Amino acid sequence: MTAATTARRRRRRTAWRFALATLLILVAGALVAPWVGSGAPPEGPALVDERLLPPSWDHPMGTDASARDLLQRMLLGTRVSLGVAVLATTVMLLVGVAWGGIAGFAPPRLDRWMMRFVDAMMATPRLLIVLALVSVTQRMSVPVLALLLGITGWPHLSRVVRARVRELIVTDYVLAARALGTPTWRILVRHVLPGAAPSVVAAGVLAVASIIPLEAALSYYGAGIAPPTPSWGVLLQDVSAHPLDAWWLLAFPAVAIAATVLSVNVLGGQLQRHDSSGQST
Amino acid sequence: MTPLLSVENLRVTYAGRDADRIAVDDISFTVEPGEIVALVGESGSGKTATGLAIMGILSPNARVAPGGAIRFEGRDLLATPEKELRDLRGRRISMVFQEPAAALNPVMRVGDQVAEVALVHGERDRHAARSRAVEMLVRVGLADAERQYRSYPHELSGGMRQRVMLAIALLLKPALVIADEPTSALDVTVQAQVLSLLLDLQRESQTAVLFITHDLGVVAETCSRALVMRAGAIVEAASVDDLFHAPKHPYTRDLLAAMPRIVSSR
Repeated sequence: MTAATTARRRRRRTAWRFALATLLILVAGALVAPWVGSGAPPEGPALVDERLLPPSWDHPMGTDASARDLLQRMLLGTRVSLGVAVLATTVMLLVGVAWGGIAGFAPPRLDRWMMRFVDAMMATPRLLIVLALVSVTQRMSVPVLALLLGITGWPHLSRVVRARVRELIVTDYVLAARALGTPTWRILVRHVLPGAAPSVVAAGVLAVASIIPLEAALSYYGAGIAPPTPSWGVLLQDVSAHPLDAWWLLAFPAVAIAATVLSVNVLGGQLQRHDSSGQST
Repeated sequence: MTPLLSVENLRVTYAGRDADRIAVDDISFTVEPGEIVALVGESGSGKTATGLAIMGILSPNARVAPGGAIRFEGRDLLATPEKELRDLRGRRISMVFQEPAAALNPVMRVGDQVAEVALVHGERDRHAARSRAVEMLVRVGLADAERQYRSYPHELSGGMRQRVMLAIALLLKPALVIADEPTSALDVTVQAQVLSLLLDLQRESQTAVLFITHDLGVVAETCSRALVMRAGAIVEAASVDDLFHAPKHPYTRDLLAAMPRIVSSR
């Protein structure tokens, strides 16, 4: 091993640790959010006096135009944004693994049809499909938004799963399992899906990174989470109503989104590398 | 006595890009209970396709031509529904593969892979399956079987892995084992050990073995009869004695002549 690759590995490891730490802090924040505060506007004269305050000891992230504490709103927003991302990814994994797994096992004809459907979905801009679905949705809530983002996001995952299943079903150990009289479903559960799991996990983590900005964009446009429930996108929307002199209103949500997407990508990339290096041994 | 296995006019073709390729061309042979029969030939001669056809696990692009039959314990496997075949596979008839490193699931403990055979074939009690597997691992010579039960295939040597494969194939004492080049991927010294283990297990459980190999030295040591295959057809079927002393077919003579031997300089 050369010095250059050693240095690269060390840098990767450092990046990986930063990413993990960032995500852990965000998750911890999301978990404690309800105990920190409700994010509601104060009562009495403070409603007027405490509007658009810059960060201070009382309000570490400042306040917004309704005198609401931004830290409280940020923590609640983290809860909403991460919640949407995790729920949506779960939906994507369920649909994607089922679709890809069935296509991988299916006879060529069925497989072709299933994959053409995936191609068609991937050829249509996702934001367009989501906006169309949003427009016919009566009541937008966190689970509904997660469902919408999930059922539009799985095609890529199903391709990963199908490719892996295709690789695994021609292995000798699957042939050996058949030679032992193992039923097909048992082969799928015992031999094929465990082999596909690492790639699926890596792809799933990377999927989270695609959901976060999408949710933020939708909420920013007013098509996602409805105010006053805060999400990172909703918080950014607040900024647009106010001049940029309240820099903290823009900075904190933007940094949160960027840091999350970056961390998730670093983590997912690391898992992917780990997966492919694991296969070669 | 009716033979344990009787292959009649078996033809296997693989769908090719332009035309079908014939892998097995109208072969017939029998295997008696407890007998070891060699299926000899160079690679590509259709030995493995024959084995896979008997197991009923040919790849989807392969086809068994109508008109043939594979009778095992009295019934035609080609006319048996898949569900009943699954019940036979692993229990009455099993297979040992050439590459134990590839035929074992890399992410499953080897002991669990042995126990899996019992679980697939109706064993409900996980602990019973586990203890049977440990017992079998001891039998195939894994020292400290309790610990090695928990190993993954990559933690074992090639010889150990093939011992595990034998444990899997023979756990339920099948009537027939198809051993497809079981020692070809191993070191020469390990080959001899694994081979003698296979023979011990065969004697104990009175299992018949269809021994697929290209190694005539192994044939002479282990088998009673040999079938010589070439280009999908059986060109000679004889007892091992006759085969070595009086080979009839020119191809058999070529094979024998191609055997490496130690020449003394007397």
